[in-house]
Amino acid sequence: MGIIGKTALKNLKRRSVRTLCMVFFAFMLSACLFCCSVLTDSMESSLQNTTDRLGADIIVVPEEYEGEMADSLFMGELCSFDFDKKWADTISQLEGVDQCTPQLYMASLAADCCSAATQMIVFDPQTDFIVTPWLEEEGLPLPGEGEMYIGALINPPEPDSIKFFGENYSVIGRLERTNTSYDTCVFMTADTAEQIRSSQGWADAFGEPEQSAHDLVSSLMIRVEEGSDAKAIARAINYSIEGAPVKAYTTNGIFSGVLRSVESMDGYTRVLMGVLLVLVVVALASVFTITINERTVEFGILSSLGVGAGRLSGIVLAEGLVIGLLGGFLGAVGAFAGLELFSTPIKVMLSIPRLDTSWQYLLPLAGTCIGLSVAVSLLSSLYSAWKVGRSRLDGLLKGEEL
Amino acid sequence: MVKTEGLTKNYTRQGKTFQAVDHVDLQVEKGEVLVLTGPSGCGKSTLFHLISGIIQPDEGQVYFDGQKISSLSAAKRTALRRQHISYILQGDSLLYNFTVLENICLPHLLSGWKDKKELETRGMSLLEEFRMADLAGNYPAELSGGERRRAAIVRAFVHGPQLVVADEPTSDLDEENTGIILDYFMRQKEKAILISTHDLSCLRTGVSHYAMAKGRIEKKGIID
Repeated sequence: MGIIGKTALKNLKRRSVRTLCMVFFAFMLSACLFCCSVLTDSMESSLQNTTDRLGADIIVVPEEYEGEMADSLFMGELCSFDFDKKWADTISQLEGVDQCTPQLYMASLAADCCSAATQMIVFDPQTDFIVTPWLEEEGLPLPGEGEMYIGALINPPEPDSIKFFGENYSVIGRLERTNTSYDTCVFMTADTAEQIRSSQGWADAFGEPEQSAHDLVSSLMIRVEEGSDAKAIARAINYSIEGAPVKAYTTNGIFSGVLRSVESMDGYTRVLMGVLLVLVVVALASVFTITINERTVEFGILSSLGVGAGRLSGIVLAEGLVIGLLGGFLGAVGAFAGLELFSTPIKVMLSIPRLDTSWQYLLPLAGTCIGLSVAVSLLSSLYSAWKVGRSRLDGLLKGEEL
Repeated sequence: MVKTEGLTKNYTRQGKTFQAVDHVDLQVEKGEVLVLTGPSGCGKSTLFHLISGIIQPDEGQVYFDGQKISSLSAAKRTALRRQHISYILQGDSLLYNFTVLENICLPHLLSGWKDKKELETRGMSLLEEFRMADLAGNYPAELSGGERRRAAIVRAFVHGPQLVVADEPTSDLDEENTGIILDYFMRQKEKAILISTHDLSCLRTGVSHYAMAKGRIEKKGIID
């Protein structure tokens, strides 16, 4: 560290209360940017991951269940609703529909009968374009009767079996982490679902099932033909099939509530950061201006002994740099610690399925926060540095206001 | 070594212009100690500011080793003060955030002095000469007025300037401290030293005495 840096550090150290106040401003800026970025980016990436993983253009769900469906897909909340499979056959015949696959959702219970309260997703290997390619990607076979795959975040007491409604089922593999709600689901075919629904435990919990799992559908995932308009096809499903107790949504449409939340959170963040930026610049610039006016004689003494104007300005800028660096670093570290400590209440309160805390994401973000704090602190000290550099030496020695 | 010709500086106060320094001609040679006496406000500090290039004259010239200081740019005048001319400010002029030794070395290090160790060795040796070596690590607030003044003088001499300009170096000091400082000044045979004061104890044998009043200077002669 050069002599200018050491001088700046010594000055800051000797005026510790003033320094702490200035560092606090930079800390606030950095911590706010860090927190807001993690929250909005986590929400955006969760939404992006979910829509990417779905790979469907249209989702058809029973009427008035679109909220539950969106919460299940985005937040991993348990859901259990269904409609008759005959409607799936009708919809799959519509013009513009390229692929159409049904999924059935069943929820287990947080009781002794089950290993955990888990979302069970039943897929159809014949038509599926969501789970099957995933299994193929990982070189895994399709699950047979009584077999299932578990999501990356499911941890049954025994690694190769999981209990639902009093019966144990074979776990034949754990899927790679996707950072979506699928990580907390189990996947099976209709044969296994039928076994579960036929068990005594199921009957005790829900009564005897009236329909077979093969005849029930919770949602239809649709891919439209290339060049077709997903919105138009969704409209066709909604208005041209008479008596259908279902409603079709484009993927973005079903997440419109989440999208609105992301957009409003992004908007609030920008406003907050803008206001904070102005406040911090004004506050730091005021403190710097007051401080250099208290230090005119000090600068005069140095100048009378041959310290050039550039170096005097350099001392002020170096103090700004140190304050920005320190505040920025502490802000990023403090915000990270806060997010780690309070991640669960934050996720619940803001309905964010997960917070992105990977180093690949956090390190560049911390760098940006520190960079912003340094830039703001330097900007705030710039006027004072300029004033010190251009002041008359006799004026400085007399302690005249800069 | 230092020569002024018709040196004049005007100031305006409450709309009235007055001459703080009025056509001053002065010459100081190496090894000479010049003592300038005069009442407060007679222009002593302004004259010294002009000689050390802190301010620019309205008329006249200042020469240092034949070089016209008053024609130099601000940066070159700063460089001259850095290397050859040391200015000891009136009153308390130590930096309160720094220790005595840091106060002595820091301005010169900031000015581009490369060898910190050498500077510190010189500083410590001068502090010993001023009987202050044990105070090197103390902060100015922990020193007496005389000790602070002596530390400022060490700072002015540590980098080996040719000309030292001291504005009221003994004001408010007791006899002992005044004696220590003046003894040191008198021993500097390789430098020219200018002292402004209204302390008549500065008029020691061998010093050139000038008196100043209302901006004008009058040579009183060499003290026997």
